Amino acid sequence: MSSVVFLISMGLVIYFLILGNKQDRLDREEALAEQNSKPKKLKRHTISATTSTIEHNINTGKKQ
Amino acid sequence: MKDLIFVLMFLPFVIMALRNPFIGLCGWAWTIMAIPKNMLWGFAGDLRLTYILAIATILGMFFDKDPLKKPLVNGLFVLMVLFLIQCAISNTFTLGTSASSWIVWSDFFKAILFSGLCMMLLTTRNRIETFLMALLLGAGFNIFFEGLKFLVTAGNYQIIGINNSMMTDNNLFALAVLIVLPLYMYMIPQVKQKYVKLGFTGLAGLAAVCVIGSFSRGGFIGLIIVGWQIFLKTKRKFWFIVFALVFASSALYIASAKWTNRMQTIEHADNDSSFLGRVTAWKLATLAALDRPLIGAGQDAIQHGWVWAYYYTDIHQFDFVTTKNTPVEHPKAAHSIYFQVLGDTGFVGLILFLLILGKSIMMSNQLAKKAEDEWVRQLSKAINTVFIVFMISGALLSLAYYDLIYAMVSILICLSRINQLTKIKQEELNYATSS
Repeated sequence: MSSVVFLISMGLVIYFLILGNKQDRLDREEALAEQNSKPKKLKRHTISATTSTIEHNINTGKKQ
Repeated sequence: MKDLIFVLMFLPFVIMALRNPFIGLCGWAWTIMAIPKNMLWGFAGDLRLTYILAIATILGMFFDKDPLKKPLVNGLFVLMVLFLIQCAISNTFTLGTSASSWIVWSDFFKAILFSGLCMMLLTTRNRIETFLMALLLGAGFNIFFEGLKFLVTAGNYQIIGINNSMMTDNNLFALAVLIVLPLYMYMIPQVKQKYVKLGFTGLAGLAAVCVIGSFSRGGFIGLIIVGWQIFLKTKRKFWFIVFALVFASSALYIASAKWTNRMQTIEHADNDSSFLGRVTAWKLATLAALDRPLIGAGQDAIQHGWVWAYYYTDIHQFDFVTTKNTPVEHPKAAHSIYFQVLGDTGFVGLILFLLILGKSIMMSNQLAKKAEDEWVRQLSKAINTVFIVFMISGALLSLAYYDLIYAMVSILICLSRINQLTKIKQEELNYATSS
């Protein structure tokens, strides 16, 4: 009897893990979508490079 | 045949762990509580199931680009790691045998590793509840059988603990059951399926039966504490009183004279040899800590005959407590989480241990009162009860390195993160609607 209960208990765990996994996929997709929807942050060196280019252009009289 | 069926059913755990490590963690929790090894007598009995799942989970974490994964950075986790390091330092200079100290440490290392993975992976409500489900179904298997045996024999069967686990004796089993009992109470209203709800209600009742069937006095006191805590925190106070009255009267009816006599010894602890043995162990743990305040005697060292005998010569220093000591030839375990840590790792270890427990209690209290989501508040209340019962009942039992407690600390950290995220989202929403 104990073996049967043991295997049933294990079956139940697998069932709930499958359900959990299913919901987790949805959560992951949602998290990914949220990540992609946020505007990408510019890296510090990109910002400073852009600023220095603008400064250079102003100094050399080029139009922006 | 059973082993073959088991392996075929176990394989999906491993495959799922590789694809989604959080599932591996849930399987790991299930193996910790169900101890499948005790049910397998063939080739599967030799398989290191927890080890296989741990490897699969860690490998899965390397390959899986999980957007929900969170980093390990947290003050409470740092405290746990510091405590682990303190244990390692103590064991390096252990007074006992190096092998036995390091065996205890390696189990504790696994507990902290498990806890760290919980912290990284249990980042959503679904994940936390699936994890709890696996944990409770695993514990439920042992609770079901042990509780049933006690009921069927009309209270004559004494639960002696579960082999190949940390719950190897009746006291430790009682404490482990008390720890999962508030979690059952949390999960019952959360599950949607009626049959699971009913099953968990039955298991919660059987868990209380198991504590009585363990004949553990510390466990019995813990059961009263858990009952009181659940009463204070539940909204269905009337139904709880009805349930408690029915349970208490049936338990008194079933419990044999042997059980009643055992519980009555709580009143006469000063003359009870078992209790006096604990006091002797506490005295020796304190002596070891006073002798080596920074490192203690090393994990599990005081139980060794020669270490016990070495400190026993100074036991008269504590004659103001009681002069009744157990004989020198009967070394005993500390039988208290506090004295266990004190003797094993000295005052430094004890401070770290108390900081972990204190911070967890504070965090759970705070979340139980101020969390944004109802489910976070309810789960924090349940975990708060877990810590209260661990700190009170643990004063009479040696289970300081129990993996489930450190996993509970991790769940608290995860709840705190989820709560912060909800707050930020709420603020963003408020800002968007106001502007």
